[in-house]
Amino acid sequence: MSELKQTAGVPDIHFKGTREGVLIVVSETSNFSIMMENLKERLRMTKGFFAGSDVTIDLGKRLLDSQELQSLEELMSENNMNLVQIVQGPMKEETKSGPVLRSFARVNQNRSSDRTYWVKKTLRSGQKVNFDGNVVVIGDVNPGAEIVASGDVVVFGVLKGVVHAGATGNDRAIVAAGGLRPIQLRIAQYITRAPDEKKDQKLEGISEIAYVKEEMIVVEHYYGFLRNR
Amino acid sequence: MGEVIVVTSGKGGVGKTTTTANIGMALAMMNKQVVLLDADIGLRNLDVALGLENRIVYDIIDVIEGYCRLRQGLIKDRRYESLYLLPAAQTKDKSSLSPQEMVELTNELREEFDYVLIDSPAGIEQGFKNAIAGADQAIIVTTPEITAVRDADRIIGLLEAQGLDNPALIVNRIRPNMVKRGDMLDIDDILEHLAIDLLGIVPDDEAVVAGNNKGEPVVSSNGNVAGTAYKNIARRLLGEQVPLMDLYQNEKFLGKLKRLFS
Repeated sequence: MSELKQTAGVPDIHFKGTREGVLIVVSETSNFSIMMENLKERLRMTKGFFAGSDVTIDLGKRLLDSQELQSLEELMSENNMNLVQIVQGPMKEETKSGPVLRSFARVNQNRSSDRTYWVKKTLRSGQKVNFDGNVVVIGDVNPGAEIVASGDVVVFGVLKGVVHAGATGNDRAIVAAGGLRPIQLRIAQYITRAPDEKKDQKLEGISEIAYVKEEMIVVEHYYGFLRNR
Repeated sequence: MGEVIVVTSGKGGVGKTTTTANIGMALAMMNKQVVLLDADIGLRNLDVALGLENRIVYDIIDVIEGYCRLRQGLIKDRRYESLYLLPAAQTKDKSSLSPQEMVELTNELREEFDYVLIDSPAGIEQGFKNAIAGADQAIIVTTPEITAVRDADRIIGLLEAQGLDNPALIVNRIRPNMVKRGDMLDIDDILEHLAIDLLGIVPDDEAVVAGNNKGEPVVSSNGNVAGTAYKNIARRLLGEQVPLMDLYQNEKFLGKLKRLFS
């Protein structure tokens, strides 16, 4: 990953290469029209170097209205860049249970939060799935296996490994499984483990859902989840 | 064209070498041409289990590096004509072998033998990767302990990644009394966890230890349960339908009845 670089002549716009594509960090102090002018100028200087790449824009504390969002998307497509996600909100926010990761607002829904990675086998010890989107496993997740997803995780069999749903901060993410016996379960910044006394229970036929309710992970049968959401 | 089968487990001490020696010998007893290949370089044992240690002149590394011909490296068993061993090297380390060389070696061996059984080292590092490189099929050995089963699970995943999709399971060293008391995982627990085909079960048997120490694998002597279990496994490898061994065969009728209703 390259270092942030200040570009002479264009203040407050930083480009950064990441595994997912280009991250553009915009200063949160200037007003929107100045920011857009700066961004336009900066993109002109790249002479199409980033054409075709996926772009994440970090707006800092700034919040955009729908019109501003649209013009930002237009500017990106004019430069043949694919605006995948917008990150906004303060860096860290203190709550009762500790710091909250910043929220990620997805713009192109069909590209990110609606994407689903299908695993059509049992995940075994040592195997790891790391995916920006939802993960569905047709099979079991055995102890020692790990799933990290920015969205929901659904396991058709028994979940016995470690799962982190909503890993980029989405605390509305859920984990559902035919049997929920994870060594550890995380949703966004919350973390829990299965109670010890359940250890000897047989696992068949208990479909459960884990989700965050009042800053805690709760595990319920799916109908309880439907009632409370 | 013969079949190349790797015997592996992840965890050490679960009985890979014993299993390799016994299945290999049982197949040879059924008049199959068998070669056993010890891939545990630096910690060789298979030759000891077979009682062939004092016949070693060349080893697998000598063959691969061209110091001797393949035929010279093979040691013929003193009991069964169709059983051969290619021993591991004891003084060289695992880096002197590459997966590609193993593929070439096993391909050469399968021209002449019906079965090439590879005894894999414990662990998941280079030695393991070498052992599985040339295999068409894998046998996973586990014991009814959670640590061994976890490692077996890891190994199954690694084998899948190498395209060895349907490994067969041998559950070794079962103690029926402990299973009955609920102090040992039973076969169903293990199969539910690993979800692969069961090739056989081998009861814990003192004759195995005694056989290893004498260099006489248990299949070569009659009247012990482990030997029968290994023979059954060999027959299943040949495609025969052999029912699983009744672990409670010495139990009295009343005990059986009790278990049925418990």
